[in-house]
Amino acid sequence: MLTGLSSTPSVEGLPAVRADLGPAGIGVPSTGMDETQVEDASVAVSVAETDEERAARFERDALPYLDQLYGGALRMTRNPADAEDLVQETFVKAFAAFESFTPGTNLKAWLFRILTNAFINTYRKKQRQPLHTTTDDLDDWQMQYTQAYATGQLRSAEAEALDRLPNDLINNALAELPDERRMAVYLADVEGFSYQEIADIMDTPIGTVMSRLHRGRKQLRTSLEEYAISEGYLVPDGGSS
Amino acid sequence: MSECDACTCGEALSRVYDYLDQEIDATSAQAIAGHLQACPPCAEQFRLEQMVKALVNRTCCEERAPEELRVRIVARISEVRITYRRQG
Repeated sequence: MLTGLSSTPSVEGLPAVRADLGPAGIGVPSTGMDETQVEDASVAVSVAETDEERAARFERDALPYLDQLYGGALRMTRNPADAEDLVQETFVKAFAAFESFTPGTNLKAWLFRILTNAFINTYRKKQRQPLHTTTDDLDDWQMQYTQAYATGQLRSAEAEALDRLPNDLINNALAELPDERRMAVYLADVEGFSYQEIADIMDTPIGTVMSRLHRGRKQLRTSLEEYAISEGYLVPDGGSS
Repeated sequence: MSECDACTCGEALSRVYDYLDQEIDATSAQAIAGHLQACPPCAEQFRLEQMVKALVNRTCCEERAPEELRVRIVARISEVRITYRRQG
């Protein structure tokens, strides 16, 4: 039932990340290249690469992430027209900054960081939507989880009911989350980024990432349970299991 | 529920997301896996959280960027290159 966890990576095994993260600070080395090779590649690129070659390299390496960035932008903006604008802005900024990207490091995370920055700094300001002032700092989420469990909300039929929910209901529930929580959940559950990578992308402490994930998922699960009941996928049993 | 004492349940539940996100060391993961085998209520709770994670993943893997956007981005990159060359 809970599969694939034997290969659980240790937290200690996560790559160290510089404290002074610029756009190129997401430095997760790719497999098969040691540091010397990365350094050599970087030097070779800066010395020998023409504008045309860099543009070709950008199109070859970065453009394949278009669908993923568009999916992320859709989650952030919640409408296709704004998502297209945001993705285009992201690629233009990424291309302009591509010289500062270190080959061999995590290009996908680098692009998502630019996307997230563009959303927070440009797009959301333009929309005059103030930042949600959710307090997603380190706090008592662990206690809250245990309390939710103790109130006897779980029902054996619940997992089956949730699994039958149509995608548009799940999308609605996601869209209702505050931006930061929705982005954290998206980056973890869809893009598969580690907590440290999400911290780098969202430029926030790892504890805040964890708190956003915990609160976001808790809120999401509550919404999904409510949808499941209101749409007749799940019959409430009064909390007694 | 014989082996499901409150302390171990609380410990397992407090790390439910760390476990599902594989942000946990191997020893702790083994301890939690062992607890889940012995404790059906916790196992059910973990299964529900795993389901929510899977649902998010399921609904979000469908998007394809419009081809027109790809064309527009490639064109914009060309523009940026030309602008740079003129400045240089």
